[in-house]
Amino acid sequence: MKKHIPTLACLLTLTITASLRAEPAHEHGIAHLQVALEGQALRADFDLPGMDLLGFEHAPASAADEAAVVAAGTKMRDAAAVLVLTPAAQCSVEKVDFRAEKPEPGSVHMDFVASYSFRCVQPAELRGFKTGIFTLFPTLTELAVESQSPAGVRAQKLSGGSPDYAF
Amino acid sequence: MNLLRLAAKSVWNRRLTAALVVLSIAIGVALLLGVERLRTQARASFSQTLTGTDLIVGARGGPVNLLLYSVFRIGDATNNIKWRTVEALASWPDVAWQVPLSLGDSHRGYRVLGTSAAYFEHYRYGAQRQLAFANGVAFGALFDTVLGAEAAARLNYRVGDRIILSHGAGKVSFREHADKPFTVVGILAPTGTPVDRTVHVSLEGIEAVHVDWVAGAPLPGHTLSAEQVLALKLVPKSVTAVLIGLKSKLSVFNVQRAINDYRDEPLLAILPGLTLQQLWDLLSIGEQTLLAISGLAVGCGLMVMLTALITGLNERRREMAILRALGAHPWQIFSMLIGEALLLSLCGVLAGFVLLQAVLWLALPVLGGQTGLTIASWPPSVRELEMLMWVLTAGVMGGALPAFRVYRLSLADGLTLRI
Repeated sequence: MKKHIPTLACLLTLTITASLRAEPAHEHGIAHLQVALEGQALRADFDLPGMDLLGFEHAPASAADEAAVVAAGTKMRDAAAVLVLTPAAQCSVEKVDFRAEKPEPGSVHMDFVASYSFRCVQPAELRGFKTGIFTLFPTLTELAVESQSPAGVRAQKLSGGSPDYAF
Repeated sequence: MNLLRLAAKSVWNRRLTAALVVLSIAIGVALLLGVERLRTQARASFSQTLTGTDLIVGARGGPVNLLLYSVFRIGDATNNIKWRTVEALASWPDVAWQVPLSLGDSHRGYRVLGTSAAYFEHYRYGAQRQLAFANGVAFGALFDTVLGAEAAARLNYRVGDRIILSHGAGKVSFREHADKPFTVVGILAPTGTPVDRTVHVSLEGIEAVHVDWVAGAPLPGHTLSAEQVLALKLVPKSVTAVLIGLKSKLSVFNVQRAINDYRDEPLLAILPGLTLQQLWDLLSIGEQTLLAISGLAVGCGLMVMLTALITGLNERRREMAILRALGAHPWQIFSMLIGEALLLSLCGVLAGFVLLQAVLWLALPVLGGQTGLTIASWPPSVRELEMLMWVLTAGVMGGALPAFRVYRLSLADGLTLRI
């Protein structure tokens, strides 16, 4: 038994190292949005479950799968349809980024990340936003929003019935 | 005829019953107001404790647990994170400043916090207020300590005094770091936060008192004197948590994600404001239940009043009949009973308010010392006054029931009384 101890210790260490990175929470129907506002800059990052965007969550395996990813990307890249900011703040999109999140080794879930950068001429007028994500992807039932703005940090869950968020 | 005076006299005539009625309403009211005040003030006090920090980083676990332990020193101790990690985080481009926090030791019931000089520069509370020194300066030497206002006042310490830290967090400890006393070099101005009850030393100081300890006990035959320790190069092995300030608030969520995905050690980064909101969401069911229960207690108090008024009516049939025979209108009798109900509820509400103030006055020093809560007992909030008005209204409306009975029956009933 004694000579096995180093091996066991090694195995134990390996197990511990492997579990250091926990897999992020993954729930179908629930997307996450984090919004940060400072000065004139506004950043919004969506975390979206592949199941709701594509109807499947394995890595794209056929031309039809690829087409579904492209279609979801086209929808998400239309920033004005995804996020409607207070008009008086005069915000314009500077950059949109949509990509599949690299899955954890061994994970079967495919998630997507959509990031938006806005510049607002009148940030003081920015009261909040309305999201169109529930119309774009009807299987989504909840958007968990966290925001950091001069008004402070806040969190709220949005749904198709109440898609408005106030900072 | 002055109806209210008549009502007052009538109440006075049955003062023992009246006193009991007032007391039962008062207890309900004090409960209701107490729950409401504790609820709102606890929220305010918590959110005012840490205001300038963007992220708190600790070992992976529950966010609420990390916040409560590292900032409010409440709840179970969280795991430590490696000093190597803390140093790595400091070099991240988005990080403007960081303040390490190391908990574990105590001094006569007050928590000892090992930290760096950056703490005094970057810690913010209330409306972005910086820590101020009432006396002395921040720690510079290894065995220097800075005391929070309350710790200094309660233990009667002045700048220049020497104190001995205890191992662990108990009020009485048999394991003391007696060979390495600390000198008080600064005393902070009061903040109304847990900082007031904290003994601050440098991280190296924490390391120094444990340098010749192994597994939580001094190693026999291997002790180093304070002078010998001064010559050592002390590097902390681990800390409890790190407060982080960012260069730009825009990156707060990205940095949070990067820390949560940190490869070398399982870490947890939280936004203090969001975690507090999580905590309130968790507690809200409990709060609502408490409010409902105390509301029921007020209801019981008012029921007691109604019972007293209605049973009193039987004894007062003759009184009512005489009043009517003397020319009092039914509406005057009605108003008199409503007046009695109003008077009793008003006394109950006032007594409840006074009772609450007295209880708070007695309990707050104890409560504050144990939980780190700062609860102002004055002034009452608008919502509290609203609640009192509701109790009064309910009392008067309840009074309408016996009043209406008397209104209908007083004359005929009293005069046909058979004895």
